[in-house]
Amino acid sequence: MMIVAGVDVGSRTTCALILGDGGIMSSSLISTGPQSAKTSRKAMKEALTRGNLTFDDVGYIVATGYGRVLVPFANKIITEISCHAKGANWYFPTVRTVLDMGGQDCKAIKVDGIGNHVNFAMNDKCAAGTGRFLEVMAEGLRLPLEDIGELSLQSENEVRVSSTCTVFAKSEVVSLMRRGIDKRDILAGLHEAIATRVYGLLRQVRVEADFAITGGIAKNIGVVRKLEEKVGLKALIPEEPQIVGALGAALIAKDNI
Amino acid sequence: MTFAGVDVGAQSIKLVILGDGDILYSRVSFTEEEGAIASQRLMEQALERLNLSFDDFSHAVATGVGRGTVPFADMQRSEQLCHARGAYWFFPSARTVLDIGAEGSRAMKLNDQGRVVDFAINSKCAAGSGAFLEAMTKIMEMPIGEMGMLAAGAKRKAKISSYCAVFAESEVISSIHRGVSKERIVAGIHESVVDRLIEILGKVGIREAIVVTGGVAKNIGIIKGLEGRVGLEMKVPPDPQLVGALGAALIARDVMSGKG
Repeated sequence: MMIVAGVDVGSRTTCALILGDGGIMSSSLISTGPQSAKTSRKAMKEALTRGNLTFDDVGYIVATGYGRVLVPFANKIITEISCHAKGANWYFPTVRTVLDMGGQDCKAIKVDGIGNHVNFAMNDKCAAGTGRFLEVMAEGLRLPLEDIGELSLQSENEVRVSSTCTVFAKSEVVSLMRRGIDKRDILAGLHEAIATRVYGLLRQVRVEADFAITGGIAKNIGVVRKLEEKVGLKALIPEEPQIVGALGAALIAKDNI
Repeated sequence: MTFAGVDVGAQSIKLVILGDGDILYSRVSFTEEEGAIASQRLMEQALERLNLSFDDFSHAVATGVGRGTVPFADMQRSEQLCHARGAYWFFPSARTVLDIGAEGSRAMKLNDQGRVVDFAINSKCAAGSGAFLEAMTKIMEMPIGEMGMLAAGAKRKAKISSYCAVFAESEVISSIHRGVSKERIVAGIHESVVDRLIEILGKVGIREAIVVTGGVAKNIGIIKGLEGRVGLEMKVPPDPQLVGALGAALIARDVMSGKG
């Protein structure tokens, strides 16, 4: 049996995934610590333990993500654009547009039928449209990050949030709360602001069906619904949207053997 | 005759009362209240102090992000016009005016008569504004003035590569963890703001004399940083945060004397 691994060291979350002949054998998802090398080793160990495997069982390892150059045991490094394209194609072979919304960046990727990326647009300069934005807002609203998606769907009177700058949006949220506006209505406004911003990125690559969303924000149903409205397509969401990059890396590792 | 200028900013409200000659009264109020309530109260306090009534006012002009909320304003004017007018009053040699506010910065190009002929604004993003510095004071655990002094005297700078204030925060935290000196980090923070300001200035082109207004003009680290980069002196009026309100009051007076 051929066993390979992919490690995706993101700015906030690190994922290691082990791939065998029959598909995904195991995976791990941990917070990225200050030392990426250490974090990548820990994630890899966790995935191996879960799969009842040792390091020697793995034939080839591809690293990707923001901290990819710092993975000491990688045989090869590949950009996250290529890996997300490959990973999304594995989940959904019909996908042509992938939106990856990560912890500190956001990318719109056009993919062909075999998982190669043909075009992309990226924002990694500004926190708008990234997990970081939502984290700061959840903190300001004193709500758990995992609850804000569902809560925003209960809004009956969405307010307009005019800033997409995280710093300015946070003060806007504080003043809306002070005016007694329902948190759910503020959340709906925040998700609208972010979806509008991210839609600009999608328009740069011109959306084609099928459309998939990956990365941590894909777990926020509020943002997903807003994006679906703007794009006019239903979004395909992988079962575990945060492992797509590592999965793509592992698939590339397999091709390398 | 008396004229009023009100500048409803993102963080504070400024009021200037002008007579036929000089400034009669000025006040900065940091408030979280709505512009309508806060500006009304500020005006009433001024009237009481000056022993005047609303009827004594010839004209009042409002400016700033909240300029639409001022109940007693006869007219509204943009921040660009007001800051340029105020800066030109202090320094008739002003040809470039840079206003660095709490939530945005703008550069104005003036002709020899003090009219605004071109301008560039950043109000969408905290980079290059007071909000960027404000966010850093929390992490550095240092008041903004102290940060500025430290930056002005720093010999070496840490490189802050993030554009976004939120990403820069994490970059600063990891620099602190790595043991980089506070002096170097603070110098890097100021350099990042200066970089953004140079971009805005570049859009209108720099011509002497350059006047810097807005609350951030009080920050010596920013002023020294700008001077180092541009190679020219930055003129800072006394109470630079009042320049917008002063400009508004001057415009009110210009209008009534037929010069507006």
